Amino acid sequence: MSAISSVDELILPARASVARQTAVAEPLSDHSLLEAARTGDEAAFAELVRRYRNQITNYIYRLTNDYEGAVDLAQETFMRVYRAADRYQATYAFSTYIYRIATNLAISELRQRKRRRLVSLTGFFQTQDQAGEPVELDPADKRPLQDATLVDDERRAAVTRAIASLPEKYRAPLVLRDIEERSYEEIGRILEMSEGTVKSRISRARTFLRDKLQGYL
Amino acid sequence: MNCQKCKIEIEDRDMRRESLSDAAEAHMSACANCRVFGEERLALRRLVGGLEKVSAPADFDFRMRARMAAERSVAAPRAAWFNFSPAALSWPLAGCLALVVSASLYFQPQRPDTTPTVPAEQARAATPSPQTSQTSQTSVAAVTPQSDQAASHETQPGVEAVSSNVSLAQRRRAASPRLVVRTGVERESVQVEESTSTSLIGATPRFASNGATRTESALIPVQLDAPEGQLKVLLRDTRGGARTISVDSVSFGSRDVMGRPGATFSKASLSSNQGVW
Repeated sequence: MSAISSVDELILPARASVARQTAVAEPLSDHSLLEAARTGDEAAFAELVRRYRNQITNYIYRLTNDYEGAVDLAQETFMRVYRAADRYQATYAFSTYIYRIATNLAISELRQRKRRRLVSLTGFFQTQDQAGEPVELDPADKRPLQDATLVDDERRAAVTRAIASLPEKYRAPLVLRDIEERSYEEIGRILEMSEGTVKSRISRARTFLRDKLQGYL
Repeated sequence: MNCQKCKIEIEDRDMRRESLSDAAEAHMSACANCRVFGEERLALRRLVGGLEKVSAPADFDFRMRARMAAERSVAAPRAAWFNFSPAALSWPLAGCLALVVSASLYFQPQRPDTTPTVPAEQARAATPSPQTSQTSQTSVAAVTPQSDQAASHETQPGVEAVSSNVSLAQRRRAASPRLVVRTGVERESVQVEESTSTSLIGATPRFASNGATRTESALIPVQLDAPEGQLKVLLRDTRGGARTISVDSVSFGSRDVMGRPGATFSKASLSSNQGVW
């Protein structure tokens, strides 16, 4: 009887066996893993989850600015992949496929959130962007900062808030490009838009961010 | 290179390479506006790209497996319901069909007869020519049309029909003792006898002799000008016993009027009655 070597092995023993197997041989591609998951191999699907869980969680978190919600949506993303494994067609990369699902879920969440949004006390000072959507007032804090750690924390928080305040149609391309470091081509496939539209929206989003983060640049 | 192309190249620059083309570098060194734009974009991308990466929680896989298990437990009965196919019920349906067929065959001989009346033509055909009995009565055939076999004997004289009926009952009794219980009361053949005083010439009695308990189906037409008299019905069972029942004729007065001596009647025509009503 073999000893359990890690917590992952305790939680997902099948996954651990696949991990050992793939450590010896070449790592299986995403398509191969999904193909195995389609035939009922849960270990293969667990390996897919292990590969993408952090990326998807981080991506959705940057879109929604809500960690718990992002975890739930990331799990829902994997559940949809699992349910639709039979219908999956390996036309594009698996990452494109799973990012598309995650994007759709996140945008749906943002729209639902917008419907149940409460009236902001600063709503009187809201301005509208060029798309006609209200933009929350978030003036740059120009006071001098005192400590390097506080500076970093404050900067991160400001950037997070600035990204969260972007209109969703600009937010997703910017996160995919500047945080997830995806190519324009892949972003176009994920968001189902042309490469030119992707570049245009990313440029627009950066301009918004530059205006918001003027004090940190 | 102009400013527009330079800005496009700055925007499209891959942060992992961080290198612009020589032409763009040369333009930026010459154009202050593009240089500022490039520095801002570079700082901004570092700022955004430098955000910490959040990770999935430690129990992500555990929660994932729980969701998958819950999904399977919910989907299993639903899938079974949606995967219903008629072929899955073929064996139970075949069993039910065989049971119904065998039950119908098993209970078929025990059904009561449901054909109480013999048509007049059949009864007439089954009626033998009037034969003289001990009491010089006109004997009428007894017909027991309870089955196809019995119906085939309707064309034979009544005595033979009765005997065949008896033999059929005996065969059934011998074949199945259970039938004795059900058919313990032997059906009685019916013979209708007319007394000499009520000879109904030209009027063949109609009756249904399905059994003694079915005397209500014995129809005997009587002519209006026939003399009044009693109708005697002789009931014979298969054991040889006989019973005679006298049935008084029912008159509503017309026969009394017509039976008076010297009574003459003329038909009333429709034309003579015109204008009366």
